[in-house]
Amino acid sequence: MGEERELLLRVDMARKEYDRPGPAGRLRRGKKERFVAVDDVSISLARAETLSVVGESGSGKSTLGRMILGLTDLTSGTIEFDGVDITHRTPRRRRELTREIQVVFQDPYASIDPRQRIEDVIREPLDIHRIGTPTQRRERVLEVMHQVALPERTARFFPHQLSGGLRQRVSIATALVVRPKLIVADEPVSALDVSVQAQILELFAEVRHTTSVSVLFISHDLGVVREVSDRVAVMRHGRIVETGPIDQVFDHPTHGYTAALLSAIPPADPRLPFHPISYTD
Amino acid sequence: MTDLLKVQALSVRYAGALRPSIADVSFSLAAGEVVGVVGESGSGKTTLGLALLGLLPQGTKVHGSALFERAEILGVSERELRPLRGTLLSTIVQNPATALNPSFSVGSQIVALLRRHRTLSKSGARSLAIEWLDRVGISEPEKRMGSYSHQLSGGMNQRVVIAMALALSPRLVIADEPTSALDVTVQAAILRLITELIDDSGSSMVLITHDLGVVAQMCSRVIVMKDGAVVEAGEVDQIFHAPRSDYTQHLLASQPSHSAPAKPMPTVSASEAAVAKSTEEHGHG
Repeated sequence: MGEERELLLRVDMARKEYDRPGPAGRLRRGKKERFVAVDDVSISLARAETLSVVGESGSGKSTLGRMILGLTDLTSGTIEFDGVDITHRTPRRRRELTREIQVVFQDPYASIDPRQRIEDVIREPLDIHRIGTPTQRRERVLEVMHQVALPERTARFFPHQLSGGLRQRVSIATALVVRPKLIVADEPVSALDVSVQAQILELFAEVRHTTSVSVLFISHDLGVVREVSDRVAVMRHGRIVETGPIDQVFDHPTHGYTAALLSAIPPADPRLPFHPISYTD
Repeated sequence: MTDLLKVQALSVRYAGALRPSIADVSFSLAAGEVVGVVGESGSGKTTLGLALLGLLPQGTKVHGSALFERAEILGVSERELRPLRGTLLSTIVQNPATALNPSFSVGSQIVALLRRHRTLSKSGARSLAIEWLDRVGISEPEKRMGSYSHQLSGGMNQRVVIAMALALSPRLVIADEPTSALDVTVQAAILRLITELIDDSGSSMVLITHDLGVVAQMCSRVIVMKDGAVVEAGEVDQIFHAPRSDYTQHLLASQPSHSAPAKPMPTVSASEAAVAKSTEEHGHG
């Protein structure tokens, strides 16, 4: 899958370095350490493709997502989106890009304005980008609510009246409403209970099959990405250690770290063996 | 086999709450056994653990009985409970950063724990503490005695917490999501460590978790909880291969499976629709 598809996003040798206080602590001046969060990472994403980026804490997966969203500057490297270099964004370009690149965050309690009704939350991106007439906007909101299986009656609800799963549906509806080309989803199911998580994953799988939006799905949990992804990139210490079609990477991992990650997930079946492999480099 | 712990008709209602957080929960635990308590948020699994440890806030209404080695531990005064904690009954919590005191070195915390419950000299307690840090897989244990929790990684901190939980050879350990805050490779190492130490000491464990994978690999029996009640209890093999309750089946079907090829997953189901419905009932405030 995906070989013939048109390229949407190309990240080339993206690098992010931070200064952090050295081991002696922040009081000793001039002893700063250079910390490389993302170490010359290159990825590409085709139209309508879902690429998962998985890694443990400190792997740089979220920083990579933030660079693509324009929330973090690159130390070096380039990002090309839809044939245009977007490494450096003018305020005007940045605004245009918010229509084309949308985001879904981990915590649906923190990422939705608690004072707005659900229909207003979902409609806001249309208002900001002046898309359609008021009637068309209302119709589009209902359409997208239907798409993410939000009951119509929740349109007049406030966020606190919804469960975590329904809130995450609101976040996804808000991301989809402007028909973006790319959605960056950073741990979108990590805050959810397992049965709700399955439903939101199902929704991502549906988005993948029924729309032409590309998704960058960032997760610490290898277990959740299989059903929603075409390809996967495994990150460790700021680098991509392995990337490939999802089934190939899961069934025949070539890198020791990928194998260790896969083996570390305890199988939810007492009859299956659990023999975590350790990995050191 | 006699029961180490026998919980009967346990109900807990927090002060000011309209409904009990757990209602009519009964189960028993044999010596050396590891029982999993599994459930989603709001299932009451953490409240169950707190009730057994005597750590519920004041004003909480507790009914029923919990016999630990035939002695009642519910509704017992703090003073009677204190000698039990650590020596007979111990706990491992989810977040090691909050379980450890940031102002004291990890070594001094283990030493204080040992000397509180055992008649040990300072140096005797210190060497025992070093031995425990070594047993839980902390390299250079002597050097680490002087470390503070913020200087250690999450996995290292959890190893310290485990050392403290097991150092007094408790008969029963209550572990509430002991690995949920850890990266998956670290979790695998910590699970193995807990299994080894529990096996060595012959302790029993109540393992509270949302993770069915952890339960499948760690426990001999499982209690499935939902909305404060036990929906199903049984041998681990029966729960995973012949679940009787619809809810258990639903939980198992929701489990993402990394080792199997892509399978159809449950669609928007009754449970989420029900949430929407109940929020509507409470809504329009």
